[in-house]
Amino acid sequence: MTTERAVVSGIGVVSPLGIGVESLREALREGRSGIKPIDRFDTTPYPSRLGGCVEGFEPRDFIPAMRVRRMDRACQMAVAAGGMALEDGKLSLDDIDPSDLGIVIGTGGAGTESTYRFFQGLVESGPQATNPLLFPTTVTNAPAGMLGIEVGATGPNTTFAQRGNAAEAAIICASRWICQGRARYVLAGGVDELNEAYFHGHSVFGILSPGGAGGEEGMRPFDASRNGIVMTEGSTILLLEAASRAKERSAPIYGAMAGWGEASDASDLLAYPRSDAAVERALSGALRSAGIGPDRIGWLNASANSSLGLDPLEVSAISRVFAARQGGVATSSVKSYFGDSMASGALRAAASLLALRDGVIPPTLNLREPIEAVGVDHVIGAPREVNGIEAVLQDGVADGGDCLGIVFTKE
Amino acid sequence: MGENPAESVVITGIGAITAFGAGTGPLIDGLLSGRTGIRPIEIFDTSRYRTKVAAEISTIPELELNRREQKGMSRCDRLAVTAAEEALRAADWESIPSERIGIVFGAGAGGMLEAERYFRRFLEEGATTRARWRCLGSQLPNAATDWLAVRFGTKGPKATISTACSSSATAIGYGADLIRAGEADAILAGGAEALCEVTFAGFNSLRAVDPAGCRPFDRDRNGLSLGEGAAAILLERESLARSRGVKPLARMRGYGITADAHHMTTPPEDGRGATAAIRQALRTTGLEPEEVDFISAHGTATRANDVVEARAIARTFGESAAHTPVHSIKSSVGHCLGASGAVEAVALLLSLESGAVPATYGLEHQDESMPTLDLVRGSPRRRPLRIGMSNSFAFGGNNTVLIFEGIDS
Repeated sequence: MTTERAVVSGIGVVSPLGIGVESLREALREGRSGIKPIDRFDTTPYPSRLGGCVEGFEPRDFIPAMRVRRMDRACQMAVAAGGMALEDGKLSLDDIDPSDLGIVIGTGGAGTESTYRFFQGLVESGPQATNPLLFPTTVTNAPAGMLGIEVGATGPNTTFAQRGNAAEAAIICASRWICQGRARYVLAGGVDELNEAYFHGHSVFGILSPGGAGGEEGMRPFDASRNGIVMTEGSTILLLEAASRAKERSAPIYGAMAGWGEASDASDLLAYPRSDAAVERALSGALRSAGIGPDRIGWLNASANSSLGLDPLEVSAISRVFAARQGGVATSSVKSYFGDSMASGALRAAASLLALRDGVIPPTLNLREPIEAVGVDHVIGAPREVNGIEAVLQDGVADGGDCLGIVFTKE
Repeated sequence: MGENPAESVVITGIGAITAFGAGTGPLIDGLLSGRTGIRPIEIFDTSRYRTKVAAEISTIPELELNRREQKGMSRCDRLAVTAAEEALRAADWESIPSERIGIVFGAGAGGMLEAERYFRRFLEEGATTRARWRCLGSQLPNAATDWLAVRFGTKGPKATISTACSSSATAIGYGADLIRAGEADAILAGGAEALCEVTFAGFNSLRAVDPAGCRPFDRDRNGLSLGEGAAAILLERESLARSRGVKPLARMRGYGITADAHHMTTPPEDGRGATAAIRQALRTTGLEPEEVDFISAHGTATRANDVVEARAIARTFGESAAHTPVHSIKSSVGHCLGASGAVEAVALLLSLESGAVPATYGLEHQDESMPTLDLVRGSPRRRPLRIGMSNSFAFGGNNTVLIFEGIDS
């Protein structure tokens, strides 16, 4: 049991913006979006065709060819991102007891591609012809399991599977394990894969842009013309450890997990929280647990995902928390660069940590006519360079009514 | 985020639905009577499979569902609601403020049974299929958790853990963590799983299913039997339970969680991950092996699991291993995968309450190739019980071990 804070000392990224944390930094600086027409499957039967797809990812650069074949795409991306996080954090398994390293991954639907392929074999060829090699990767925790096997981590290992905030839940769990002394180091993050079964499901739910609302397809968080989300995929994994340990081994420190808050108010599986009250409770709870006031938040890394329901709810909650603040809180949504998925919170957390380190706030892309409210200062146009950011508040609002806030601070 | 490890977390309500029927009463009666719920599967066609049995639930009690729940809830969700209603009612939960109560559930295949019907049509008709899609929303692991929150109006933290067979054991451990961290005063924890063809075909493709029904720890064991069910427990800060005037059933003492990092479906021969999880559970609760009165084993009856688990118990318990009763309920209620940790935790709590460790159904012949354990077979072992340990090991090499302590009122 330690009362020390957990810090992030390594980041691994496989995203539509590129491979490696540097690709994220560059894209956010240049205002470069990773959203493009999907070419992995035929989108002509669907009203939507855009996706934030990972391109140029070669699993064999990270995983021995023999084992690549045993993994589906979600596993491959998670194993690659986990390896990069260790490398970025200058941590080698040779130097530690493997039981000191834990793994916790959040995902919306890891395993759906393998499940669908396994089921296809079952329907088309019958039970005797199913592929036993596919079945082990149908489980939601296959990426966490495969990553554990690949790096040899025998500490605690688990998987959060949620409609949203899955990666944030994983990162919070990692902090908890470090404070409890269950693990000295934890690889924590998220993974989601964009496949047709998943895309099809979201399309029939009617939540993809342009959806029923019509208009131009695209990711326009906070904008008056927004009309639904664009799906994304990828894996971002952070390395967390106690602050003193990171210093002792001279590891790079991006920032600390200073506190968090969680709340919920579910009206339906596919609906955002009933009101802004739960969002406000999560944000205030995060500030309270971090022991800092709203005036010290340099950037609000928003959850707004270009959907009709979420964005106004979030603006209203931010406004309630930050109304008294002079000029409002600098607010933007990096989902405008890559889209949204249930585990996109890990890539967003990487953006939170880069902003802390570099003092640069990325603008929301495609935002022309913002939903305005007292206390909300939309960052639009060029990246905003500020003289040091003390703390970032990352907001997570998801369907199923889940709300969550994490405060990252300079260590 | 300080956590108070000394904060006592108690259990104030339990609920279950298994192949023995709806309710904790039928569960403990079934376990103590030496019957099994494993029988021929009716829920889908097994004619083309080598094996044909599982612990299927014959009737789910009629729930009062509104129109949306009626249309959207999968079989798995209905099982979850059945168990949760029993647990919440037993705990007289309505006096807990909704902002202070959260939900952490474990899940495996979720609403796959219903999604299979959809995917079948998707395969035949392509992307423009007009098949009913509402069931897709209930396919993901979080569905049961979210339906429970909608139905009971809880407003605290909510999470879904999906690590195959250890999902709901980890959910119970994590739920207790949330209370100790002060993030909630009560957590509805548990898990639900419904039989579905994907899972059945999957375990059959691995040749891991015993056509005759499973026989944990037996010399002639030949694989597992699947099951379905749900179990829920209301975890609560002890001081809150006392102030509400609710009598706690037991205390959640702590847990261990580790990974094998060996293979997705096979444990390492030496059982090092399971060993480490048991050690961690003992260490975090400050208990010695001789204080543990019985062990509810993972005991799947696969060739690999049982011998590895016996080695892990023998190694961690040392001399105490020979006189600590060990049993597995998987030959009675089947392997409920995402729900198994919770179902077994509730069975353990019922054992503590009744002072009887149920016998392992189907266990006849000692397996001489594994370390000698005090396996309960034939008839239940009746004695005063205080501390029980429950093991859950999973695909991906995940190991979770829970420890509970009975409370004399």
